[in-house]
Amino acid sequence: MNTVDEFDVVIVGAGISGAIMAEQLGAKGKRVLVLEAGSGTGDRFWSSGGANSKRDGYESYMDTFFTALAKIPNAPYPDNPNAPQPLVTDLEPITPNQPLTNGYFVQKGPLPFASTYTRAEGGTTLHWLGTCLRMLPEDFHIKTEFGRGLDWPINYHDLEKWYQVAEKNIGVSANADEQNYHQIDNPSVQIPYQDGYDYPMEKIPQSYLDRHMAKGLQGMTVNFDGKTYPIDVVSTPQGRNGMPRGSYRPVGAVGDPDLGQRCAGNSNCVPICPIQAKYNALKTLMQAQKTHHVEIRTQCVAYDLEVDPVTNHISKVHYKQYSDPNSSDHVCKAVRGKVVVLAAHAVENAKLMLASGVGNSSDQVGRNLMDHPTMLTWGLMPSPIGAFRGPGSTSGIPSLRGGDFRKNRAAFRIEIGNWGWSWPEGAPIGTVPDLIDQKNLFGKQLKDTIASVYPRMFRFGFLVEQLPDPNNRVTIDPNYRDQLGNYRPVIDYDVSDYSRAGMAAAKHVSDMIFQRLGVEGYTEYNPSDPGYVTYQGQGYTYNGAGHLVGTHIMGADSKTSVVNREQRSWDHPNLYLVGCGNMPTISTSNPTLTMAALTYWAADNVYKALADM
Amino acid sequence: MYINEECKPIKVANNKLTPITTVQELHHNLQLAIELEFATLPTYLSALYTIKENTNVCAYNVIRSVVMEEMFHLTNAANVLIATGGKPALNNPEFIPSFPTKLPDKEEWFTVNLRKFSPEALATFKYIEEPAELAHGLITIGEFYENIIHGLVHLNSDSCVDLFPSGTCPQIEHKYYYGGGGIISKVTDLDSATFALNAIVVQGEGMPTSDWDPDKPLPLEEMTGIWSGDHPLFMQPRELAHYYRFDELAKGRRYICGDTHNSGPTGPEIPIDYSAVYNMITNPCSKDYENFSELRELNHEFNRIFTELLNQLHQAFNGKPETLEPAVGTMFRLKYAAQELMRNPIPDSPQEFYAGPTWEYISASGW
Repeated sequence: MNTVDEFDVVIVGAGISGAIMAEQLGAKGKRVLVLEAGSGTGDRFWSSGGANSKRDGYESYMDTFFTALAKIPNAPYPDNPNAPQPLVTDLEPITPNQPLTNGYFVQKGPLPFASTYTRAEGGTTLHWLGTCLRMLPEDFHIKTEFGRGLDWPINYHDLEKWYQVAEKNIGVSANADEQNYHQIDNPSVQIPYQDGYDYPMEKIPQSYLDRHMAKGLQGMTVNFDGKTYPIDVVSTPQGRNGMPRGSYRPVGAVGDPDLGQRCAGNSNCVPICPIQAKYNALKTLMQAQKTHHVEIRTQCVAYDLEVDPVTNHISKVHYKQYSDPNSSDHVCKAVRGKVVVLAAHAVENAKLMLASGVGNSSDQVGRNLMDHPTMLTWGLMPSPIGAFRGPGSTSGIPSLRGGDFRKNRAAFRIEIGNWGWSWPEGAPIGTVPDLIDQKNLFGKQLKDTIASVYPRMFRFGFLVEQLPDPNNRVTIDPNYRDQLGNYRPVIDYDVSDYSRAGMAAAKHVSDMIFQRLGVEGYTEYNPSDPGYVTYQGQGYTYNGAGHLVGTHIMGADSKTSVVNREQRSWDHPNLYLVGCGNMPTISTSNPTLTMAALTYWAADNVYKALADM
Repeated sequence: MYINEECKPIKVANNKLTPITTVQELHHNLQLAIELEFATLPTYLSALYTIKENTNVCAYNVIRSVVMEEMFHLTNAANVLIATGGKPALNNPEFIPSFPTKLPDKEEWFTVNLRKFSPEALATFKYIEEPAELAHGLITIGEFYENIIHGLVHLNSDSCVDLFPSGTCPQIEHKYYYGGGGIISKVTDLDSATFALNAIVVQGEGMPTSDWDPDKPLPLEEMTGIWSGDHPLFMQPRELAHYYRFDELAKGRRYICGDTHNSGPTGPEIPIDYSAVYNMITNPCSKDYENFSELRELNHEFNRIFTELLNQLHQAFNGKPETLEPAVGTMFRLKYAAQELMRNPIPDSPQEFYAGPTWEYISASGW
C-alpha cells in the first residue's frame, strides 16, 4: 500500500514567502514541508566534495555569473529545463497574432511582459536589489480616493505591525525619521510610523551622487494640475546589512556567517551579492531548518492540487521529483498537508491553480497581473559623480509617489541609479568593447576616454504605477509545456494610457532635473525596443522592474477576488496563498517588503487555523 | 610537532610576568596588549594576501576570520584602557614591530616572520595562538591577559584608586565590529573589563580550564561539519579557537565532533594548494626594493595607506569612534595595495621571490 507523507503544512515554493511561512510555523512546532521546483545550495556557501561528490554551494552561482556572457538578473542561476525561468534576453517586440515563444513565457501581447523571476531555492531574492519601501496609506484605497484601481480589504494601520516584523527579520537598514517622509512638503506621501520605532540597522550611507543630487535639487518643485509638488532626495530603506542599532546582530552569509555582516560595496547586488550582505531567503530558510520542524525538498515541482469533493479541502499536493535538471526523468509523488500554502510566486501560483482547477470560482486567478513599467532616462553629469560604486541604488525621489494627480495618471517613484549606464546601455561590460572594436581606441586614448566619460554616467529609473486590469493575465494552454510536461505561462499584457500618461509626466520631470543639473541627455527610446509605447505622439520605453504583482488578488468579496483578508482561498478552507499575487494594486513601492509583511500575517492566520483543525 | 628549525621554542630565563600594582603599569600593559594584537595582523595578512584570487578559499576564509577577531581583541583591550582612563597610542613608528620580531608580551620563545601562505607560516600562527596548557613553562597570550586581570582585581580592591573614572573618551561600540565572533560590550567596571579580556583568550586559545584534558573532545556542536549529512567544506569556524582553526589548515583536515586535541582533526580533507600562492620574500624590507623604483613606489603607497589607517584608528580610539567608518574603506585600500605589490616578482631574484609590503608607519616628516 502506498503511504503518503502527511505534514501540518505543505508549502509550495522556497522563496521569501515560503521561507517566512516555514520559519514562523516551524518555530511554533508545526511540521512543515517545503517543495521547491528548482535546485538549491542547501546550507553551503562554499561548494564541497570532490569531483564525484561535488555539492554546489552559493559560490557556484558566482562561478556561473563570472562565465555568463550577458550579466542579466538570472545570469548566476543556471538554466533548469525542469523548472524553467523567464529571462530578460527572451524579450522581443510582439507581432500581432504571433505569440512570442522563444523563452519560458508564451507572450501574446500586445506588449511583452518584461519582468523575470528566479526558480531556485531562495527564489528571486537571490537577485533582488533589496529595496524595502512601505506603501503609502493612500495606496490601500485608491479606488475610493481617486476612482482608480481597487481598494484593499485592509489598510495601512492593519499592516503596520507586520511591516515592523518584516523589517526586523529581513534586516532593513534605514532611519525611520526619514522614511516617514515628514520632511516632504506633500502630505499625500507621509507615512505614520509607530512612536519610538526604528529600523534594526542605521541607513546605508548615501552615495556621492545622492548627495550631489540632493544639493542640486534643493528647493526644486514641479507643478501638476495646478498644484505644486516638491522634489526631495531621500535615502532608500534596504534589506542590506549596515550598522546595527541596539543589540541587533546583522545576519551574515548562510554557510559562512562571518561573511556579509556589512555591505562591503561590491557593487554587484543585482544579480548576486558575493558575500550575502544583501538579504536573501536562504537566510530565513536556514532559520526555518534550525527549528528542526521544517523539511525542504528541492527539485520537486508541484503540478496538481487534489481536492476532496466532500470537504473542498486540498487533500493532496502532487509533485514531480527529478534528480538531474537536464533530464526529464522524474517520479510522481504526493503529499498531504492539513494546510496547503502556495508560495511559488505570482505567475507560478496562478499557473498551478489553473492547472489544478482550484480556487477560481471568481474567475480572477491569473488576472490583474501588474509590474512597474520602468522608464529610464540617462545622461552625463557635468562632473564625475563616482558612477559604478556602492549598492545599485541608495536613494530615490519619493515625493511624487502620491497626490491628487492619481485621478488622471499613474504615480511614480524615482530611483537614482548608482551604476551609471549599466541598465540602459549595459555599461561598462557591454560598451567598453565598442570603444575598442568600433571606435578603434587603445592605450592612453582608450584610458582617457573611459576616465572622462564613465565616472559621469548617470541614470534615473521611473517606477510607474500600473493598475489592475483583468485582461493582463496568466493562462495555460495544453500546447505549451516544459520538459517535465508542466504548463508554461501564457501571458496577455498591455500598458494602459493611465500608466503611459505617468511615463509622460515622468519624462517631463526628468527633463527639468536634467536641465537644472546640467546633465547632457543621452536618453533614447526606439520603436524597435520591446517595451516601446507611444502617448500623445511621443514615444517611451518601459523595462521590467521584476515586480510581479496581482494574479490572485485579495478582496472583501468572494466574487471579485481570489483570497480574503486572511489570505485564504475563498473556495478551499485549507488553502492559503502568499506572495505578491495577493496584492490588489502595486502603487509605487517595490512589493517585497509589503509581501513579506502580509506573509508574516498569513503565517499567524495559518497558525490560528491549525489550532481549530 | 615543531616543524621549523628557526621557530624552535626558546625558553627564556626571565619568563615570569611582573605583577601589576599601579594604574600606570596597568595602562602600560594594556597598551602592550593593543600592540600585541596588532602585531599579529601583518603576519596574518601577509599570508592571506599572497593567496591567489579564488584559490585556497577555505584557508583564505579561516585566516580572514581570525584577522577579524584579532581586531575584536584589539578593540576590547583598547576599551579597557579607555575605561580605566588611559589613551591608546597607535600613531607612531614604534607601535609596529619590524619583522622578524618577538611579540611584545614577553612570549620570547618564538619569532614572528612575515611569510607567504605556507606550512611555515601556519606553524608560526599556531605558536601565536598556542594554549597555555601546551606551552608548559612558557608565556602565552592567555597568561599575559591573566596577569592584567589580576592587576585589575588588585587595583579595584584598592579604595584609593578610582579605577573606572567617569568622563573617559567614548569607547568603540558593538555596531562598529563585524566579520568575526564576539560582541563588543561596554567596559564600565571590573566584571565587564574581565569579560572583555577573557573573550580575547577564549577566542584565541580556547576556553581556559583548570582541568584541561588533551583527550577531552573539543567543544564542537553535533551539527558542525556533518550538517544535513553533508560535509560542508566550511564548517562553523566560530566553534573552534584560533589555534585549532590553524591546526586544521596545517593538517589539511577538519575537526569534527568527538575529535580531541590528541586525536587531531579526523574530518573531511581541506583542499589546500600551496602552489597557488605568490612567492613573497620572507620579511620584506625596503632594502629589497632599493634598486627598483616601481616596487619602491608601490611599497611606499602601501605604507602611506597603512599610516593613514593607523592615524584613523588612533583617532577612533581617542574620542572619535565614528572615524572607524572611513577606516574600513582604508582597510580595503590597504588590501588592494598589498595585492598589487605582491603580484610583482623582484627582478633578478635568484629564488624568484615576489615583493611584499613592509608594514611601516611613516612619520609626519617622512611624507
